[in-house]
Amino acid sequence: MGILDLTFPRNEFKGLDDYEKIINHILKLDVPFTILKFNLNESGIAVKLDVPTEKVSQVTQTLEKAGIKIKRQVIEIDEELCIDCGQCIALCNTGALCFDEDSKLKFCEDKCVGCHLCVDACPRQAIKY
Amino acid sequence: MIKTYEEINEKIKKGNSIVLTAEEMIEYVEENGTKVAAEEIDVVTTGTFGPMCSSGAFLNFGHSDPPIKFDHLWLNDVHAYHGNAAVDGYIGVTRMADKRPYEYGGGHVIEDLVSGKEVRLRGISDTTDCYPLDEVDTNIKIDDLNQAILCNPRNAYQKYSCAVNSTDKTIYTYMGKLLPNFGNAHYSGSGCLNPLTNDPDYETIGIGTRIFLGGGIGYVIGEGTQHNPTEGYGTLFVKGDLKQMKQKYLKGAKFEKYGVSMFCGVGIPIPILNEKLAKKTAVKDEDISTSVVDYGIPRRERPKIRETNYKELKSGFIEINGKNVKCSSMSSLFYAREIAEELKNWIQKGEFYLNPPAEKLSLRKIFKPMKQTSKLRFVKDLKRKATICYEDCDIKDVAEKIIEQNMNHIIITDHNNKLKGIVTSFDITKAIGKDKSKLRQIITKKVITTSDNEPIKIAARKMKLNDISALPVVDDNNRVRGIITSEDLM
Repeated sequence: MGILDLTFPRNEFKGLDDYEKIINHILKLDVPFTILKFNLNESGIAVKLDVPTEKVSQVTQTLEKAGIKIKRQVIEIDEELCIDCGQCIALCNTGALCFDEDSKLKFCEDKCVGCHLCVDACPRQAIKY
Repeated sequence: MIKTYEEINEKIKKGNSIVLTAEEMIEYVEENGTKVAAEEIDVVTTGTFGPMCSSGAFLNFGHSDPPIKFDHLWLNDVHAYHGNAAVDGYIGVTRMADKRPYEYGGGHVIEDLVSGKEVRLRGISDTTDCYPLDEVDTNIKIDDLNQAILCNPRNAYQKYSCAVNSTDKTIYTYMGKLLPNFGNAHYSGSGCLNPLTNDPDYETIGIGTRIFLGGGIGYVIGEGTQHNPTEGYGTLFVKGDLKQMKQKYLKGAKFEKYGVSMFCGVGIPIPILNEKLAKKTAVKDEDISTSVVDYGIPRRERPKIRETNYKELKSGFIEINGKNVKCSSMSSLFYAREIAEELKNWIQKGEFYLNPPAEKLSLRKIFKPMKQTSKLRFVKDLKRKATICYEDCDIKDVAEKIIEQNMNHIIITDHNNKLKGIVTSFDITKAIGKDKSKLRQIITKKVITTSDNEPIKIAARKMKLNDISALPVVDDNNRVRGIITSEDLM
């Protein structure tokens, strides 16, 4: 499962209607999710969602479009362990993992949504977060 | 014959041999043609670096005092095979550690040994008059061993199929994690750099061929197990001195929810003895065809989705049912190139010589399936008639049917017999307890199903994995054809 740390910004979401809209947005995706945490802080309402790993990027995109801030738990590659097999590449939905021109693994952090689909799939346990 | 092994080795000795990697050979032949290539080029080097499950190492530990004859032995908690003399053992790469299975295994032990790390050796014995010691627990390094011989019964597949998954669930295989509904594709092998692909008639690669193995020198010692030359899936049986090898080219691996293995580097030099070999070693990725295979169907003959080639596979996408599916490799092209390049350097520097095979590999061997004496049973042999209710009936009707027919599972369909869900007697009890009256409030809609032609063992595994006790049997159109319950399997 993928953990998403969301913040509904204080100024942009005021009434109950706004929250409802967002929740309906997620429900429309037909993705089962669990709310792990729900609390108020200075930046707004913080929610921790647990969604199926393969749906993380879809949910992320939908929520970001709706103006919700998502704290991404991006991955890190341990280059000592990585052997550039590239198994992770076909699992990466956003193109954050790809080959460079020499067929060495390239990781673009800004594209990583933190779905972690690649983490356990790495045969060398070289992907961490 | 244009050149002989002796002539090529003479040039290697003098330091003026012309060596190209199999990728460089493509360009050379394109520019100069096969005739010039056959005259000018002496050797083409190949390389592959992928998970090779049929690998392992024979180790001899020397004798303890008092002596022991192992009945069982473990290296870093990984059970090694012992069916040889007292202190010989074989550590296989797919054997998982007793305490950290799916994470650490025989391949990791070999990697640790090669990198000079200390490995814990534990052994037990029933004792004999000549081998009285019952237990050993010690730490060893590769230098403490008399022999450490990498001995791999099946390596370097000529090519391999590309794996996809048509089902609606993620599956975990030796081809990696395969996402549902053709969510990704995994292939293996280095295509135009693959050793046997460059010598498809096994003219120069045979028993006794000296090769690059795990960063050291090894030999082909026969056809590999499951050698399947008639379909273009030749394999090699190889061995080499582990003590000379490098950790860079032997890497323990784990596959999520599948097990463990080891990436092994193999490189083979191909002497360009004639023009035909010049042509063969210029093989391009687009000329190497292979199949896209559905691993979602867990049968020996997995359905072939389509044909593809290594050019398409290496592009990162393959087309399946009009959809562009992300595709990546199990093996490392980067390391395959490094191997071909390193072998090329060895030859150019006069550190590696070529030799003709003592014996050729079979070109006609047929890869046979297992002979199974017990008859395979299918769902259709054991299924029974399903008790069906329509989705618009009410809970009371369902409850009545449960009592009447003494069935725990009621299958819910529409009026065209299409599966809509399943309801158990427990669901009915819950409904009454929680005061629910509508069938749709209690129905399980996501139903795991089976089909007439699924083997019983596979249906049983589905029930076990999902912790359920019945599966509706459906046809290709999702129409209900019966039910199979765990009781039927007893």
